[in-house]
Amino acid sequence: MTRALGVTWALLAGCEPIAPLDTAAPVEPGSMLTTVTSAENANEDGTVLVTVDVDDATTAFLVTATGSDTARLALEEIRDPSGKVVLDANDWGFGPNTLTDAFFPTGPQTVSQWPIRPEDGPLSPGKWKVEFSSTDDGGPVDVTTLSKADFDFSTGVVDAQIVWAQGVDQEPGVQEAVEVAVERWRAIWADIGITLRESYRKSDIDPDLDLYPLGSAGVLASAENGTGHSVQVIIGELVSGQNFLYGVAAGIPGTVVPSEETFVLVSWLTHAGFDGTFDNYEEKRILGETLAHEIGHFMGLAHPVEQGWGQHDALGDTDECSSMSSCQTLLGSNLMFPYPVCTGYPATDCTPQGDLSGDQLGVLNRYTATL
Amino acid sequence: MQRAILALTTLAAPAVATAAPGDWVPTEQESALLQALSLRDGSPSCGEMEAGLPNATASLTAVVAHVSMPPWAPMRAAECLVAGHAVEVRADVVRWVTDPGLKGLGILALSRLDAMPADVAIEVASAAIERGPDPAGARVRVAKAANPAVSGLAVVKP
Repeated sequence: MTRALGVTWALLAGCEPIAPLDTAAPVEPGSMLTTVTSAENANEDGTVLVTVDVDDATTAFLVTATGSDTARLALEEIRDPSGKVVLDANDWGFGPNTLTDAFFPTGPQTVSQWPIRPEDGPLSPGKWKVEFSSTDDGGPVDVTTLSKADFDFSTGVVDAQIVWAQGVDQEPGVQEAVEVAVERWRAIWADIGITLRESYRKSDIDPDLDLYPLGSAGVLASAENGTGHSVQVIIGELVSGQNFLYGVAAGIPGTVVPSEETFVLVSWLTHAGFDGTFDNYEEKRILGETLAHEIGHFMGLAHPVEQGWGQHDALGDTDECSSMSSCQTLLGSNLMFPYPVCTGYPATDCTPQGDLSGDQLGVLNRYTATL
Repeated sequence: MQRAILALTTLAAPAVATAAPGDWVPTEQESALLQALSLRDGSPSCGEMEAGLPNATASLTAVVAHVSMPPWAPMRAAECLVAGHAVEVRADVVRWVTDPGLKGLGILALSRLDAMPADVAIEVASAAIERGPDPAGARVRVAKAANPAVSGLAVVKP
């Protein structure tokens, strides 16, 4: 697989200009979105070039590219209408800062958001080019581009569909615990001006969630019952697979376009602990922070620092640190810190983690499904 | 997304619930284990976490017995015991599936029967069905085992 300039084009059309949000009148958030789909084929060298038509009203876009089951897709670069490369995998893929995992070919789907950060600036009108690479040279690639017309990057509304894996809502105390946890998630977002608009639904998804990273048809079917722009959180008993996970987002970012990979997975059991019961508020609060943390990944946030203290996010206002003690001091209350800071002996307390920086808020508000 | 770039270092005092000070004081290596077990998105592999521990079974057992926060830390430690040390801790695992106060550990063990040697899995599954606090729930989980000798235990005999 090599890189080459475009041979395959996603010809996007029909994007009607949408007026900026009128704050005086209620606007259904979904009306600010435009969806364009196309069926493409990768070039003989695996390149897929997608054109995104950006008009005066478009403020962000999310491109979801999905190849065949055996294909592995990755983002290579994004170019603005002048041809300037604004995002290049070579600048980010193996550097000390994490901006997105779209550069890594982990599965048949890759998701690219632009702009990601406040410093990425506004979109200029014209034809933007998003270039992917696929391991399936010449293979089919379905592309869905979601564009939003929402000029207000200081507040927003996010629809979330919370899905019970089969029988999980019948487990004693779990439904109540998740509802309390959702209130914690809502409070974290309320502090930064984002409104959570959740709904619940049952499913027949196996509660032993062996869905990461590729998802399933059941995930797709459930997502298709949502608004079409909902983040989807699946509550299961365990998150199985190659590693023992407690909560996981399909990607940084993930896609709200209904797909087999439209998911955040969360295990209720591991949050209930050894006794399997949510018998104190602390456990429910931590569950709520996991929900908000994983959705944060899904909407584009990386950890401000990774354990090891050498890898940081790409945001300018999250503190830099280089040791466990300094990182816990500076970032231990940040929602996206990689672990809860639990101290004391024999205490059972962990520091509440709900803080978000201005740039982190900027990422969440730029995510195309934040309306 | 799991982002577990592992570099084990020392850890601040862990949160423990059931032990008085002195019951168990983590060593430096065990503190590093605790930090790895505390990652929110998920932990490194059991092999990675156990590397450098002089007695991994004892350390993991201590975590299960003494640590309650974050709530997934003892669960992950239990997972590693089941996956790699089930023969050594079979009595503990049987206790997990029969003690109503250890429901979380019990569900975890029944969901990981295939990771245990067959004789241990059969003993654990039988104990859960015959003496556990939720025989019906145990049958549902036992029935999912890949080994027919284990899953067959879930069949209700006339």
